[in-house]
Amino acid sequence: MDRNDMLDFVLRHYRENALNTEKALRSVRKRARVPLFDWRMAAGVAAAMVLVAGLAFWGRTSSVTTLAAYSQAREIQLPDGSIVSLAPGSEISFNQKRLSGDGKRKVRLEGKAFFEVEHVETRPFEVNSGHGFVRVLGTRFQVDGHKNEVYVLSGRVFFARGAGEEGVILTDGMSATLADGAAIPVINETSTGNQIAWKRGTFVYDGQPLSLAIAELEEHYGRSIEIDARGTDISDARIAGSFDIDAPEEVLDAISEAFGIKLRFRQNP
Amino acid sequence: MAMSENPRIFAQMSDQYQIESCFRLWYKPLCLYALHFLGSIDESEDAVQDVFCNLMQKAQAGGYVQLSKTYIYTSVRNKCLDILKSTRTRDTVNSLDGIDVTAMDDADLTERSIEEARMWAAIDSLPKKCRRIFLMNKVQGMKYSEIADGLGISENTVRNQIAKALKTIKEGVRKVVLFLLSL
Repeated sequence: MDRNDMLDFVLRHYRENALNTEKALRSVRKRARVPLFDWRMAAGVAAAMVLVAGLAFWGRTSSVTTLAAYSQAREIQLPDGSIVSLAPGSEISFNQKRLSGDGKRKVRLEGKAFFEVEHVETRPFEVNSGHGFVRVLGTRFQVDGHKNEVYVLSGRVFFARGAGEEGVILTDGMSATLADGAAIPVINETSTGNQIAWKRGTFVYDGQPLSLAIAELEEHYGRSIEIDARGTDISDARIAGSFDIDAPEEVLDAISEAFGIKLRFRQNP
Repeated sequence: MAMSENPRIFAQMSDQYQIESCFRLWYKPLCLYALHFLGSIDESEDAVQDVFCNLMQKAQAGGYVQLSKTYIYTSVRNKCLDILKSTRTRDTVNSLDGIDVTAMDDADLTERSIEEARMWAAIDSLPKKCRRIFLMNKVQGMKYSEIADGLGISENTVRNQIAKALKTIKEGVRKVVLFLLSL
């Protein structure tokens, strides 16, 4: 195969902003879901999700259940049927009676969790993460209380600091971060979807900068990574591939080999 | 994969995740592959998206979804041939872009599409100004002097930018690593 031929072929058809993988994926998801998940359309319309300042929301009650995930991620089914995946070191509290009743569904989160909320038209689902709370009707999203970040896998979420304040609407594949002291959350430009890598079990990249991947790996494993470039210029290097999250050393080895560099976890963090 | 205490929902979500991971990995190469048949990038994107849309719907309906590279490439190929059959005459099928796709070895075309996808991604990754100069020369066929005049820069800068672009695409492209899933 002649590389010049290939480049000619690519140039004959090249157009900026075409072949946008994430955008294409969002549109496929939308199309694939419509006939099967009609409720999500309804949710999209009805879900004017309100974020209210988290004052006195969690009244003092006697029957609060607290579940925690220690060293391993843990999946829990709540009394209302919603599923919560708790990241290691996180905990969730809720009132068992109220959650299985008819009123609003409320949970309090310390740390990070991924939610798949069962849609109940009359019973909004609220997550208080200390910084305010997100209200939804039914959707799949993640609240990360450590980073004040909300990531939406599917559905629609309105994310703001407080009630009646300006905010952002997040839909499939989008994430936003509320910085300390900021009035409005900022939508993150590059969302790799690896926010939920811990839950999905894999990191997935599609041509993102290698430096971004290394930063994400460092954050996920909580260990810094030493880079020995071995004379290779990796400043422009980009990475694509899928990695098993449970094999940190193998991930580093695979990347090292592919780029002709040496990555290793720093011994004394 | 993380353990789940709710196998049913997890199985369904897991399928969706697998399909999406697969999509993220193969979308560009598959589009380039389809482009050899269809000759239009928009049609190619539609064809690949159709194939994945069907996979997702099948998974959601509880069906078994096969995600091997061969299976997905074959699905896209069939989709393209269907489109060609319904919209074009047989003659044009074999003469698109000067390559007789129906005679070409499918494994070669698969490999080729992966390399072309890397090149496409490499062009995307060029700095804006560098990409603009490069495309003016290679796509619009403008001479170095014309580009230099048009942008108010020196011919030397034009030459350097184009050399830089070519280096990134032809050599640097190898830095864009595609870990092909052994699915």
